[in-house]
Formats: sequence, C-alpha cells, structure tokens
Amino acid sequence: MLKEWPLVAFTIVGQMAVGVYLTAFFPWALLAVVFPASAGPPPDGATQGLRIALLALVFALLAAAALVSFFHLHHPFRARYVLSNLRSSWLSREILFELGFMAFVALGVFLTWRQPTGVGLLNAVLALAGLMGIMFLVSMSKLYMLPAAPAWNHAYTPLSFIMTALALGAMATALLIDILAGGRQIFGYLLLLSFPLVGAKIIFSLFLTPGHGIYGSRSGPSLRPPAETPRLLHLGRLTLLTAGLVLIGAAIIARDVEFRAATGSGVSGLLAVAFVLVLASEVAGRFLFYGLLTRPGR
Amino acid sequence: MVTQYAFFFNAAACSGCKACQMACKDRNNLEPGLLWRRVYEVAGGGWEKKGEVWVPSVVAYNISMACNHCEKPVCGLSCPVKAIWKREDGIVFVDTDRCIGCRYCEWACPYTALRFNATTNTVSKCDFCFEAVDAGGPPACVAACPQRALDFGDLAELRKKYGETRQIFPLPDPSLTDPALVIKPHRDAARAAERAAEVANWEEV
Ligand code: SF4
Ligand code: SF4
Repeated sequence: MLKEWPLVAFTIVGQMAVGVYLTAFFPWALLAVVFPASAGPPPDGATQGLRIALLALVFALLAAAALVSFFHLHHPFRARYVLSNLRSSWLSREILFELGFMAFVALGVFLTWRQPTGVGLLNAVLALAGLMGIMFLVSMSKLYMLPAAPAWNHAYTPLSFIMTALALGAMATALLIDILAGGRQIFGYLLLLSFPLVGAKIIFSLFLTPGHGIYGSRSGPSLRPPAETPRLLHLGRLTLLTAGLVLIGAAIIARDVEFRAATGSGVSGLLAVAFVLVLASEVAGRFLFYGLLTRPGR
Repeated sequence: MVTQYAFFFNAAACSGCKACQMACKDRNNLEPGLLWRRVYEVAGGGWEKKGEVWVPSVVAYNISMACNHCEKPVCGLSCPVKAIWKREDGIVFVDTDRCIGCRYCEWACPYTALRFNATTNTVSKCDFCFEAVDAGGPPACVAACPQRALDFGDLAELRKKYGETRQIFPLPDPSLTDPALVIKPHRDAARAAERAAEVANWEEV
C-alpha cells in the first residue's frame, strides 16, 4: 500500500489542478463562449495578474503531478510509448488528457498575458482547457473502474475523485486569491462553497467507502488476496475531514463578524489550516483506496 | 493449425503436490516470490446436521492456475504501451523490452496472472513454454504433473475432449476475459461458496 505513494500524490495533485481550474475559470469561460454578451469588459491589470497566477498554479500542479508519476514507473525512459494504446487503454487516455489540459492551460497563460484585442479566442481556449480537465478526471476514474476490481468498479471511485477535485480546488483557489488580492468578493463565495463540498465528502466516505463504509460493496469470488487496509485510515480520514469542516465553518462565521466589526482578517488562517487538514484526509483516503486492491507476489 | 492454445485442469485429480508450480519456476528460472503458476488450496465447511445426524461437510480441493491466454486479454487491452500481445496461436506474451513497469495490468487481470519481476523491472507471466510447444513438446507444468491433472492443446479440441466448464469457485466470472481454459470440477466445488470456503494459502500464492 505505502509503495503506491507516487500514485497517491499524482491523483491528488492532478485532481486538485482540475478543481482549481473548474472553480476559478471553467464556468465563466464556458458562459462567455456560449453567451458572448456575458463576457463583460476586458479585465483590469490586477485581475489579469490574478488570472495568470491561478493558471500558473494549475500548470504547476499538473507539471508536479506528471513529474511524480515517473516515480511509479520502473522504466521511466520508456514512458514515450505511453500514448500507444488510446484505442483501449484508459491509462493512455488519462495521460493524453493530462497533456492536453496542460497545453491549453499554457496557451491560456500566454493569451491572458498578451491580451489580444478580442477575448473570444482566450475564452475558447479556456473552455477547451476545462473540457480537457474534465476528461482527465473522467479517464482517471475509468481506469480504476476495472471489472476485475469490484472494490474500485463502483460509484465511489468517480464520486470521490470529483469531490476531491472540487473541495481541494475551491479551497486552494480561495487561499491564492486571498494571498494575492485580499478582499475580493469571490473569496467569500469560495469559502461558502468549500463547506458543502467538504461536508459531501464526509457523507460519501462514511457511506460508500468500499470495505469500510456503511454500504460497503461485497466482494465476490476472487483469486486476489483480501485487502488489509487498516481501519485507522478510514477513521483518521473522517476525523481530519470533520476537523476541516469545523474550521471552514469557523472561518465563515469569523468572516461575517469581521465584516461587521471591520477588523483584520484571521479568516484565511483558519481556511489554510482547514486546507491542510482536508489535504491530509485525502492522503489517508487515497492510501486506503490503493490498499483495497492487493498485488500478490512482490 | 492451432488458433487458440489452452490449458485443461482436472480439479478432481489434483492432489495439490505443486509439482507444476515448481516445474514452472525451475524452467523459467523464477526468483523467490515469483510464481507464474500457482496452486490455490480451497478449504471450508465443517459439520452439518442432517436429520438427527452430524455429517462432515468439509470442502477441500486445489486449483492450479497460470495465465489463461484469454481470448479477450484485458491485460493487453489496458496496457498503455501495448507491451502485451497475442500470437496467432492465442499465446499471450509480455514484451519486456517495451513494458514501462507501471503494473496497471496486474490490477486488470482477474486471475492475478501478471507478476512483477524485480530482475527485469517489468511484469511477467506464463508464456505457455512456447519454445517447448513450438518444438512439439508440452509446457513444463503439464509434463511435470504426476496425476495427469493438466493438459494443453487447442481450445476447441480440449472442449470436445473435456467439456465446456471454465469456472469453479473461487475463479472470477469467465465472461470478463474469455479464458482459454477447460476445467473438470472437483465434487466439492459446487457447494464451496455456500460452505464459505476460502483460499487457505494466500501467503503462498
Ligand atoms: S489470464 Fe490475465 S494475464 Fe493471462 S491473458 Fe488473461 S487477462 Fe491476460
Ligand atoms: S506493467 Fe508493463 S505490461 Fe503491464 S500495463 Fe504497464 S506497461 Fe503494460
């Protein structure tokens, strides 16, 4: 289980990148493409800088995920063949969509920086990047939903990946916005959004975690040795998530009080600690996920 | 001409001596901990009351299992680099010069036939002793079995000779991969699931 650490890091960081993108850009870019009138005026300098920073964060997360994934290959120099089986391998497709997502995000950074006269091209690129990101998430889920792996071939896999992406994405976006451009209204929205996302994550984990949840899947006959995932991982994950949820709630209340009292901000501190707790819960949950499917032999 | 090589396994005849497992290790020079053919010991049951009498309901049999050179090799379909391929005669091979060692196929194969080989840093599995078979001989496991519980040949021929069964407890649903496998079940196999039988030697296989 512990030797799967590169996959734990790859999936969490990759999903967080998709989540940051989906909360910060995708709905707005798609709206602007479908309804050009909603695009609004070109951004001012500060907003443009913030956009570049958020896009750069997405790119950096994707690059880090790609880098760490090499540690899980025993012949990393042969990785150039990895797109050979797009016809039937979800693993090939996952890498294709990750690379496509990275390429469109990089193009988005360039176009935001150069500020071409019309924003139509930029919005189209940003919308396409979002679609690539969604397909990255879909292929990441599909590749684990193997008929030979009943513990993974389950609604829990896509649900947990999507919730990880959105919860970590909303929190990371809120924090970056607060660090770079404090006082923006979007911070409050993202803070409010984080609460139901982390809450939903707790409910999914409690009910659906294979082998541990209240509605655990039953394993059929198999030639795979039974999983030996420590119960502590499940309990630890739930505890960390609950602590994170409480802190997000506290941040929401603190923000409301601060607005009224017009004092300084302790809100982002609370959110930062909540983010670390939720991230730690994801690490525990992901080790548990990989532990569900044993590899006989070495 | 053979279009799909297959194994036959007679669970009713297997004594669980593991000569097939050892012959495979020996022929392929497999390091400790690496098994291409494995013998699973299925055990369960106990006593049950029939009327006023307690009778034994013990389940005990063995399954010798390697790669089944499936007609639908999900291992190869899932491999991102196409390192797993199927020859015209149905034998499924791992190309160790192409495999990146991602170990994804290990999860995809329901027979856990793919095993990591620390010497080549790739996955590895039964290659049907293709050199021996190409030369007209049997695979090492088939040759070694003192009970004649293993046989090999063209899948269609084996089915004519031994029947159509390709799944007994606890083998996975054969529709997942269409394994090139014919089995003669042990008499305990039909009631193994209801008697809560389990593989008793996980540490070994
Ligand atoms: S038994 Fe497993 S490794 Fe062998 S061909 Fe079938 S799916 Fe592939
Ligand atoms: S371990 Fe090798 S053979 Fe298996 S999926 Fe990865 S590249 Fe393909």
